[in-house]
Amino acid sequence: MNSLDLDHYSQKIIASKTPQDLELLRIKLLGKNGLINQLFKQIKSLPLEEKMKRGQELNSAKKKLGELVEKQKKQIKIKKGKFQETPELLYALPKIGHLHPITTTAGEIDSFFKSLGFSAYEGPEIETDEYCFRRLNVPPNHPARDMQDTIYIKEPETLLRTQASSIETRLLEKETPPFKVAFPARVYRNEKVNKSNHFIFHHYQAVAVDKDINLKDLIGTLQALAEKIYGPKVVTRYRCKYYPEVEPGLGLDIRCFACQGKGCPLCKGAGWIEMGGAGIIHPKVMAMANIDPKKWRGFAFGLGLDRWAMAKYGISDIRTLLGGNLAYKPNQP
Amino acid sequence: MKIIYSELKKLLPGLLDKKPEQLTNDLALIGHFVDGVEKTNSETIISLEIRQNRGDCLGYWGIAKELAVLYDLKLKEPKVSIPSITSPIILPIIIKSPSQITRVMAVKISALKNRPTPDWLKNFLAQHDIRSINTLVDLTNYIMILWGMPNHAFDAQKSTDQLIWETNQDRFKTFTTLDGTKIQLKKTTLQISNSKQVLSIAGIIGGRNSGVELETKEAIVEMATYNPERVRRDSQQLKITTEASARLEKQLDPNLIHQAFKHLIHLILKYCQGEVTSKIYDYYPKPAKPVAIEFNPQKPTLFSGVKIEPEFSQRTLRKLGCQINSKSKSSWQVIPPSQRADLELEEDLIEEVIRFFGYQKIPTDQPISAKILPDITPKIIHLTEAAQNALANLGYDEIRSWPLIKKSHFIKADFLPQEAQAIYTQNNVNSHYPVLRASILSSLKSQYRQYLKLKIPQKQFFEIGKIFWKINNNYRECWSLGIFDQSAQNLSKKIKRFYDKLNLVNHKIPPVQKIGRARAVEINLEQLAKEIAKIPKVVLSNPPQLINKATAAKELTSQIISLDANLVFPYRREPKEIISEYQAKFSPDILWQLVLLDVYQEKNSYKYTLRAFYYHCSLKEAKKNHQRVFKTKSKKA
Repeated sequence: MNSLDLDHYSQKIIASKTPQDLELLRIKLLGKNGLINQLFKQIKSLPLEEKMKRGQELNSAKKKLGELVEKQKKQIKIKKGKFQETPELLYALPKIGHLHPITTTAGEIDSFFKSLGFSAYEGPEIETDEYCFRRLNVPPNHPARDMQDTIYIKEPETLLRTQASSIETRLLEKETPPFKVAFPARVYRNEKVNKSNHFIFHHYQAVAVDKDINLKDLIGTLQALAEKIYGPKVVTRYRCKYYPEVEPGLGLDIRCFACQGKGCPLCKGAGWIEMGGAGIIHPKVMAMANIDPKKWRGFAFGLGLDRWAMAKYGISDIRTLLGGNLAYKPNQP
Repeated sequence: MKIIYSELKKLLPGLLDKKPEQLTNDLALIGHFVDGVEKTNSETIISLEIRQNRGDCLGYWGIAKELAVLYDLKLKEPKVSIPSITSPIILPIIIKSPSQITRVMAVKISALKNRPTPDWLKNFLAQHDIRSINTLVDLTNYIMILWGMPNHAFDAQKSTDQLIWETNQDRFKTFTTLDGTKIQLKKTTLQISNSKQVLSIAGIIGGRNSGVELETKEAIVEMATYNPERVRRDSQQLKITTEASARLEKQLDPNLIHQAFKHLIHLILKYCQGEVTSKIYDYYPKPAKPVAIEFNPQKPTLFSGVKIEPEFSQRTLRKLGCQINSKSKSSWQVIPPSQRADLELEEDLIEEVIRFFGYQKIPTDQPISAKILPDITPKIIHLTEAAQNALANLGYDEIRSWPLIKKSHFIKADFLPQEAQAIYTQNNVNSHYPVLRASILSSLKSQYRQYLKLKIPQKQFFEIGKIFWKINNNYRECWSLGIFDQSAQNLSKKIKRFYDKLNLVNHKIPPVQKIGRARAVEINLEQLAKEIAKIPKVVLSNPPQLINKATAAKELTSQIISLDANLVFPYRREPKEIISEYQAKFSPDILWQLVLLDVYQEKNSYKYTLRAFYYHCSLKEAKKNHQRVFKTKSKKA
């Protein structure tokens, strides 16, 4: 073999149907002992001028064939489900897709509430002061607004919702009791972003309005939820707590995981970690939504989702949840 | 609010047999969350998070009253005795802003012998994180902590007697506080001044120009309550928060001033000697009027779901200081005490009864009835759930990113109207992210950039979230879906399959956008919801398996490292078989993925080039593992 039929081999490359065929052809032409290298060996004995001319031709052919092989690699249709179509890879195990930890954590809570006959709900993220505060019994200058540093779109009326309870006010206004609703929601607070604080995070809110709702219903539901998430051995504490939108109000604490209640830096010596707030919907909140508080009673509670998701997925930095450093191993469910 | 246990016992001697642990737990149960307990050799100091509407509990006296109700104990009020006041002098005090001031008491004390603070008082204040100044000043702070009532002492020789409570109205520009901070006054600032200068910001902080020093011989001492909103606004506008403002921006009981003020005078005379040289000034034009609340004693049972006897309600409300007039079995008229300004409605009284009855006595094993009510879930929620599962089943990872983005990253979704404009936030402290995204693609691009930095292979992801825009100051938002894929061909094919899963046959694929060498699309989910008659249920085929947190989701703190290895076999092998075999040799804590790059046929053998991706490790660790598994020298990819 002392010449190269470039057109012939170019056609053969273009005609390759599988990566394996193409690879064999590449080895035959461009491999260590391939045709091009053999031809290079043959020209060694030629006179200098002719050797240079043939050398240039061979180099040019080598380059062209190499480019054609690369191009054809991309063109070859790889078998469905077996080969990935990323150009760098010849084969990878099929990639598994994943849901975000917030989605899966909220999904678990959703399924719990679905089993109790709850619907889901949603509402706007750009809210008005009325639905985010006033209808929740938080008038202007109420101290409770301190805890909820607000990001304004147009002060003082238009803002980014600071709590999922703003969806509750829309729900109470729009729907006719009785109803039971539970939903996750993205909320915003005007806080500097760092390892443990974020200006965007997630609440999980549940609302039930019926004729005879009471604290026993609420505490029983919270307990069942805590046991679903943390297991039957979870130690909880229900205590009186103030929130302007509920009366009576209560707080849910869980015995500190780190010290089992003995007191440690995580729980600041208290032995308990606050998990959320709840209560019987305030009669003023009901009345503002045109629901007669003498006829209907409801409970509402809100929990922070991010900490639950972080604890569950072993994530230490809250920025990971929304910031781009979260990635998923492609072959693990 | 910090409470030193031994000091609390002075007001409640009956606490002697209560262990601090029990006390803190009981306080939490009745609504005063203990957010820390500090134990020194001789003291237990409890940090309490006081409820927003319980200004009365911002002093030892208020907390002691709560515990007296809970444990049925008697309160021991501090012994106070003041010599009879014979001075005919009336302090020249003028109240020019009566709507902002509910009560003021003041008196002048002369011939003072102010001195360095005694150790007991110094220690008490130190344990409450308050710096000791001198005996007189420290006594004012002691009374504030004990009774929860802020007060202030002026050096009478500097302040020249006259005290005017007024709003600034631009009369004075600046004011220097006791600690030397110069502040710009506002027009609406409520202040205490004389005719020449501002002496104090009412309810917040005193001024250097009239501060009490060791040499002070005459002082005017005042204690006042204000419109809490005024104090709160001044504190916010002037950016000053003090122990006094933290209390006075809540509703305090003007009636309590009488007791607390007399105690203050008693202590000043005891520790600084001196004599009272003016009449006690008392401005209290509208004494707090008790408000009667109709109360049904059956309601605590109805609200709690457990039987609470009317006798228990009656006993509890009386111990709280309420007056009860029983009109009938089902209707009482309850008049709360003046310090409980938070009790306005029947529900407030119900909470009082239940919290002393004990939330812990309510059963925890009876969740709400599972009775079926009409499903009011909006269609868009069913769609987002189906879309999330469908895309995960097609191999895409879900991301969630910031809806607030950098100005330079702003783009508009194709399907938005031409006149749609960006929405900017006014006060976001994270000022680099001032604008709300109007296309989910801006989020996908950010994620792509981040994944490139982290060197993540096989970038295939999606996000479902809101996008925002405005038209003529009408704010709009809608659910949007963005799908990103490294391969254009893969993306188009998978979108077709995605639509199939949603029962959208032959649906038009949205315009494919270029992001570097990759591709992405954006889909208006709310429009899609309108086009689907019934959203199908899509089940996630690979649900996460959380076993000891060994989840696929990883918090990456460093780049992924890729190393290549060549393996030679005398016969041809299936790629899947090789990858599975070698993958099993790695710890899942270090290997991200293993892929086949190349197959090379030699005369009597096959050479396979594998690429291993390592995470959460250094290059050295990666190489060590690489060599262990492949028995070959690693080559950085």
